[in-house]
Amino acid sequence: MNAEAPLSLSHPPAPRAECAGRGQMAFAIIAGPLAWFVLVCAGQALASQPCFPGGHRYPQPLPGLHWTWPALIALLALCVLVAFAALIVAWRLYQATRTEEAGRDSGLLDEGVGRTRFMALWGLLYSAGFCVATLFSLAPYLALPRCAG
Amino acid sequence: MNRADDRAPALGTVSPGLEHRLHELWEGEGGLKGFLSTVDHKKIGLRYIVTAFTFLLLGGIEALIMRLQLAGPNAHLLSPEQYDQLFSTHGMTMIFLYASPILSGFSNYLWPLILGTRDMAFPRVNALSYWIYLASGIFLYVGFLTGNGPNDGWFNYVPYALRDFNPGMNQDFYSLGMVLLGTSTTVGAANFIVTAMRTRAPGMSINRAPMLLWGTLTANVANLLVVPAVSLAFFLLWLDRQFGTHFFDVRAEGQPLLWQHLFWIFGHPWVYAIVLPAMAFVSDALPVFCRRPLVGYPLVALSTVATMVLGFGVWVHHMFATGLPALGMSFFSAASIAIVVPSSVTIFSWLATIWHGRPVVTTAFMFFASTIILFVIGGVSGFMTASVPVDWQLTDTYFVVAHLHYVLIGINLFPVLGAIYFWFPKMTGRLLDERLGRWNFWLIFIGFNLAFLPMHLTGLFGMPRRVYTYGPDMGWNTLNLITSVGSFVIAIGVVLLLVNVVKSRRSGALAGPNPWGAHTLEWSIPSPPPPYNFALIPAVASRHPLWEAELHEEVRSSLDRGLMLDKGKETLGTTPLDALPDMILRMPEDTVAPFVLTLGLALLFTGMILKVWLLMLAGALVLTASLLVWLWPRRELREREPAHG
Repeated sequence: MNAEAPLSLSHPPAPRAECAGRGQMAFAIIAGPLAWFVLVCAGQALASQPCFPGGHRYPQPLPGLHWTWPALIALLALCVLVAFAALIVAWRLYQATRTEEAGRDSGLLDEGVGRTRFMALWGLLYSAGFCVATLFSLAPYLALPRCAG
Repeated sequence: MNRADDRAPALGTVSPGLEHRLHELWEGEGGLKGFLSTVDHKKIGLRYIVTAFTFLLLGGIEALIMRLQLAGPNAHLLSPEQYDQLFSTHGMTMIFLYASPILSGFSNYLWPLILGTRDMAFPRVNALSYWIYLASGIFLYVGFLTGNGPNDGWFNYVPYALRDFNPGMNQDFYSLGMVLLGTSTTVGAANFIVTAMRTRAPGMSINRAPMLLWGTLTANVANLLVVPAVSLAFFLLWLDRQFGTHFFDVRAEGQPLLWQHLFWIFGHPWVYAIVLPAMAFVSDALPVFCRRPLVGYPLVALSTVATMVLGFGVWVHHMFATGLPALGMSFFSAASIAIVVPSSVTIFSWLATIWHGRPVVTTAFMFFASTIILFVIGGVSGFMTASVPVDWQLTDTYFVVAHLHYVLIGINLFPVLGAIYFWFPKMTGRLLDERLGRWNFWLIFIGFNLAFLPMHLTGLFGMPRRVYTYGPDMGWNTLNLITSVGSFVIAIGVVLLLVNVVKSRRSGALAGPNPWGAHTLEWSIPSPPPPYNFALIPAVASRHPLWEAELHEEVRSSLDRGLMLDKGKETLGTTPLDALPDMILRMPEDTVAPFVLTLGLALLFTGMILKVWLLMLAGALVLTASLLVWLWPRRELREREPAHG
């Protein structure tokens, strides 16, 4: 229908849509939360398995499962990096689209006009927020004994 | 929903001829056949609301009986077994049969109206979702009324739910009923998601969509992801009980904690699924009474989604007392605390909207504004239990019961009651009585706080949950009596609401299309809406199509001139992000197929519970036949090519 449609929108919602690739936008919005979620699920498994396999508890990690600790730290670092990369992409997208609609940035926060910069703002806040949340997950690793509980 | 053809739709203005043509096309049959075959989202939405409200009343009666039992020590109104079934059925009813379906009802009714379209994307699936919901509710209540209701709490922990400890049919009814209900929720969720993505009015890009779209969409994406977990858990439990498998049987190396993981992976996102659409009611309706747009709309929409994202990572906080390792729990504790951030954004947005607005205090406004207070109380107690050491002290006490009621009544029932006062005029054409409404509000608000605020203390004083009675020297007598009195005050308030609905439906003041001077599309059409909703598909240029002049916006939505789409039962398909016109969608006619399919499913599940193979076979045959009729490709919908050119 597109080519023949007589209806043209008087006020297109995303005049700067071409400035933001869909893949980039998806990465900026999804990567941060996804990295955090992977860390929560995989982190729980890696932290628990050496001390609490099945129904038994051990005061020290089982021999042969010591690799889980460096794996956990490596996973955390990777997740932080992914979220940080998303933050950089989101920042670039936001810079490219912030003039999508007339008005100051506060207008965006209040009204959300301009679909592309609206999404770029989401990417910015999600990736920043989940980057910090993922980084904070380091605290229990450092503070808690490995097999406590 | 099928693509109709490649023609360009005509633009036009409203005329009596157009309205007549559309009425002919969209008006369904009357009588019993019409009742069973309708796919109109408005009728289905109202059925959802009425059915869910009926379950709310049943759950409320169950609560009142429990409160009579607990009003004083050593009471013998109920036996321990009866009490077990009653509190479990109360939880099941309120959480599964009321809290989510009532929101589906409102969203079913309202979505096509707020989105500027003529129906949901899959109207037949919509009907199927309702019929299966009704069938599962009846199925579960047949169990309860025959003494086979759930008796192990709504969360149904193993090993108590296994056959050795629970030999009756109670758990079989619950397991199969929940699998059935899961089917309804899943197909309904798919329908909501496609409707949100493909049928918004042209120009309604995602940043111009009402908050109700964000709330319901987020909830349904979550449902689609997590409902299979609980359906699987209940199915595995049924296999353990009936076929001797050992998924949860610790004696055969099964894992009791597997049940808790599967249940709460579903259960906690479900909590958000039953509050986020209700919070969206507040976000959309509160600004109407404040006479200004919602403060910080993009942040509130973002917070809605963020709440659900974080909600996927908090399920273990229901399992802090199960002996999981501290390091593992720390992740979930942190996530449970972090969820305060997006919730607070919404709270502060509502407060700022009231602060910067010119509030008009109506009954609906009072219900919405009081949600803020109750949300904060429920949020603070939730924040407390997110901390592992505090949770160890409070778990399984009445403190947690108080917390969950502040969340579920405060952020579900109160917004729903506000929504009834707000949208009743749209649904019926008449306003609810404001004087009765004030009585209604104050009785429920005071009764609720009388019942549940002292309950925090009851829990802190050590009263455990799920006990059918208590001794006179425990120090809980007065607090329990106050809670019981409060629960009956709530009941009087609910009765007043029913009186108001019946009275106002008959003789309430006429509402007109927009009695509140609201800003979204549903208020641009008559009350109640005609069968086709919009004679012309509107084109949207802002988030407040009806307030553009008031807000001195530079843009103007097109409501008087739009696409006519009167060549058949049609609506417009638009693109997911920007809602650009994409295709004409042919909508299906009424059919009894969803109803017959549900009958087949009900027969199948009845056969499974009774272990009557013939009944199961009959159910499977009916189900297959109705699917064939439903899905058989039809030439007029272009599902298959004509035989000769």
